[in-house]
Amino acid sequence: MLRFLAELPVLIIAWLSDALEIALRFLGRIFRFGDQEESEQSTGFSGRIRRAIGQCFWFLARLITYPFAGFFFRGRRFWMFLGSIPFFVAWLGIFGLLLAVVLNHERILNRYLSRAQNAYTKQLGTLGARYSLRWIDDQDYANADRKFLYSLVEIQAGQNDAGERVLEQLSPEDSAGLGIAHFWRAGKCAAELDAESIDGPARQEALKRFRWHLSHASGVRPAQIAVLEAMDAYWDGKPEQAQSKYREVWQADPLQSVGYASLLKRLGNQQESVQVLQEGAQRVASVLRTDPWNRTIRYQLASILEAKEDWGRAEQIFMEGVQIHRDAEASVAYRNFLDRRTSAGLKDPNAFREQAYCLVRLLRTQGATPSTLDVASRTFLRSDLEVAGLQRELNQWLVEGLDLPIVHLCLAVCKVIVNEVDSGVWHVEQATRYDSSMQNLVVPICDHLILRASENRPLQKRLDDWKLALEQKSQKQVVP
Amino acid sequence: MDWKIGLIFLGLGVLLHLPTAQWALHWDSFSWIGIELLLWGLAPIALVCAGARNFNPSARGESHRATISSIYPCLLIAFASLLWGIYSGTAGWILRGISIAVSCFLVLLLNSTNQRLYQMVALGMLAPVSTWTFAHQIHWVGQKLATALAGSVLDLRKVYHFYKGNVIGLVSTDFLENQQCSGVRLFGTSLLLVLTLGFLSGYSWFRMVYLTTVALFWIVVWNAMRIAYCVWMQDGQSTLIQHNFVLYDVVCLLGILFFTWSADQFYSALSYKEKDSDKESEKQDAALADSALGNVSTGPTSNASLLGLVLSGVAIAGIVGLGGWQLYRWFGLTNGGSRTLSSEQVDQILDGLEFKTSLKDGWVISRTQGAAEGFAPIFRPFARWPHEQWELTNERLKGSAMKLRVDGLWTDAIAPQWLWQWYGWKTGASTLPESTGPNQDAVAFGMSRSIVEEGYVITKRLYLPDPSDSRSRYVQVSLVQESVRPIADPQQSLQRDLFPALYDEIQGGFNASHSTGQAGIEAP
Repeated sequence: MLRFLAELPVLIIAWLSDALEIALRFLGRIFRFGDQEESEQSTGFSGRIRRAIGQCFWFLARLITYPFAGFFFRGRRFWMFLGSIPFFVAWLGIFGLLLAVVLNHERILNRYLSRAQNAYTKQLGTLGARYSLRWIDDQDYANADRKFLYSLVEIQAGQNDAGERVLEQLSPEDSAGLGIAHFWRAGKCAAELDAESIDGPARQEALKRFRWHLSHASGVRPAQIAVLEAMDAYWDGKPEQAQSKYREVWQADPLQSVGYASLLKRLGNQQESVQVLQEGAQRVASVLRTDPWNRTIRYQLASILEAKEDWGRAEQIFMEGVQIHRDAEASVAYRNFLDRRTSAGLKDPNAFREQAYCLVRLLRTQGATPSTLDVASRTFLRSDLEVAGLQRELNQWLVEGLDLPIVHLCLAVCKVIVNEVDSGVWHVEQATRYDSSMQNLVVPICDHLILRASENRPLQKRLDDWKLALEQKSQKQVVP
Repeated sequence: MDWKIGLIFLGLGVLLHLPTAQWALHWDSFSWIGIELLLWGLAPIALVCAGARNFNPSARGESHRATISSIYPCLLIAFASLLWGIYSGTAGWILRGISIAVSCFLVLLLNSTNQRLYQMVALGMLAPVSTWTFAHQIHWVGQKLATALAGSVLDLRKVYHFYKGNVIGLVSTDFLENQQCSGVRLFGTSLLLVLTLGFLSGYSWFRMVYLTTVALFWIVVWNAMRIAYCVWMQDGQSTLIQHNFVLYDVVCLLGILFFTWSADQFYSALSYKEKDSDKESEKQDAALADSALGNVSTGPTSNASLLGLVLSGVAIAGIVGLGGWQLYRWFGLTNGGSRTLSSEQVDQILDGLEFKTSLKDGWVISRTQGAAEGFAPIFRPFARWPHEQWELTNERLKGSAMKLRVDGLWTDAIAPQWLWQWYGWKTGASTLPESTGPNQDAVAFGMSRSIVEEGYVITKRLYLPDPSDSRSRYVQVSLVQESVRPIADPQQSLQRDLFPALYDEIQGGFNASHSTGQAGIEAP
């Protein structure tokens, strides 16, 4: 046994050499037929097959050795070889290019993906959507998370329908999709249910869909899901459960103050609702003090104050935001706030102080835009009694020192409406004394009011007279 | 002898396609030589390759010269082709009849064998196939490959782009490379030149196939490079870059020919020994054939009577004359020929078309300038490609905008979906819309693209007015609705209601132009 083991390496070498010899003999028999002299002798079907295999072998051998063997060609064949070099090099180049692209396919698409993410971060939705077009149709590459990114960039690009369609695809009603898309769908269903415009079987259907999507929701903070669960309990007729659940969320996250207060209000607990807003505002304000650059916290605090109808403090928060950030987003947020405040002010016909303030701020921040002129006509073109009330509040603002030129301008309009044209001219003079650019506002306001007061001919005439008087005054100033 | 036959056949093909050649030469780029001309060129090449190099008549016992009795059936086939062509209004069948008759004439004249006669007849049946019915499919595949390769080059150069079907778009600017991605340029010209080179060099069929494959490869590659260059130049530019496309044509053509020649050199170098041995064996074959044919009776006169020859001559002349006359009548080359509208006139009519019909329910129609997905395909059958687009909007129905478009001038009925497929739309099965009139050409189909885009199209051919012409050309009138949501039944119904009135309006515009005598002649 030991002897056998000692001889085993020698035996293995002998077996291998025998196998190699047999293989070479076999291959030699096959490839010999590729040679031309041998091919003459091969007959029959098997002979033809062998000859074909042999020819293929020798052809491949010639092809592989061509780039090296070509340099040893002589005469005409050498020049042929030189002529074929461009083809060979270009073909290899194209082949290499394709190979590089195929092997790096995922890496290339990753480049587009990161660009799309970058564009989304920089809020360049249109650009992000174009980057996404490269991979969105690639079934292997575009997984649910990437499709979600696509939906976000589409929404950012203003293509809300497209983005929502993708989110709907990602949150199917018969299989598990993407948790965050289910959360979005649940929120959408909640908004439908909250509107209370649907009733009966449609409401039941919406509730069913809401619960399905809520049960599959994930990928967001637990508090966000808990809010929807609280609403689910409320719609299910379990107010205590809804309140306790929402309270837990609110205690952990004061940013939920508005929603919790709204729920309490619906449950008839007005006093607690106010307390929640009060406490929520204090807690969020303390957070904002530690991080004044945080826009989200700032806007959330403003929204709590808006819900409290503490418009003055809310405006202060927005104006601080404009001063800190000094960018378009902060300005737009402030303008939107003013629009909301004006709409709220115009709802109460006797809120003259609020209406006067909003008009003054709108004229100052937005100038004579169509929306501002619309607010102006809705504020001024009312009964004499109401205009007198407005005038009273404007005088009060004048005393308090709010934007003197604009307040004078508004008072001028009020005077003309109550048939005191000369006084109206005087107020305009005062306004232009403080700020010469007020003249640019007078004409559009006057023209708009003339247009809107089409059914009140005497007022139209007064406005015309006022305009004429102002024009004459200005001409006299130009030609002393 | 076979060389002469091939050359004569090639010359005849060129002569028969003079209108095509004339029209091609009038264009600013010479990528327009008709693909039919290419097939006429292929026929003699294939004939010579199949016959001269690999056919040994004595070895196969087919050394008999053609006789009148073998020519009669061929003439019968030619006559039947001619009659069917006149009856069905198909130029292709008439051309087949003529080519078979001419083959018979050549065989008689050159004292060829029966085998050669049958080969020529078979090729004659294949040669004048009207390719416009499938040219767009050839270009569709070629363009797909070229676009993919161009995209690879752009990937390597880090030019960010995306694909819309066969067309490349740029990320950096709102740009779709419609012009360069409208079909494979220099396809016919390059292939014809390469095959002529092979034919004149007397290559074997295997080498011709190799050369054709290599030429096709380089055509695609150079088209891809051209697209990549144009897109690369446009990257980051807000204004449209102007290119010298004639120069690009010349460079691409030279590039294709050079690399194909280089590939041919590779073949020559690789098969150098085999070629020598081929020559020797050919010499041996030729010697064998000469010795065999020497024993066979020669000359047609020994086998055929004078009456037979005269009858054959009259039949051939009759077929060629009748077919030629019919073709000339169709193609409007005689005085007072076809009265159909030319593509230029169609363009003018569409430019001046105003929709006078007051559209119901608050729909407003306005002409669209510079449609993003609009192009002039390189495989169009006429010199110009009329394309107009209008937009229909409704204040009350937000999100229900539609597009009315008129595309192209065709002679052969092709699938109406091709235009949308070119831009990556996946089209569904066609259905016949209910309220688009009795014309069976009207079809409707849904389509989808990317993961959100949906569309619904109602389309119908509008044949240009020419009652005397059975081969009327037509434009495709389509009403399209695109959305990110599936187009629901009520929206489709709205579209079906609107379509007939708009179609009638466009038809009325063409009829009015025809009655005022604006119709003209245009070479196909």
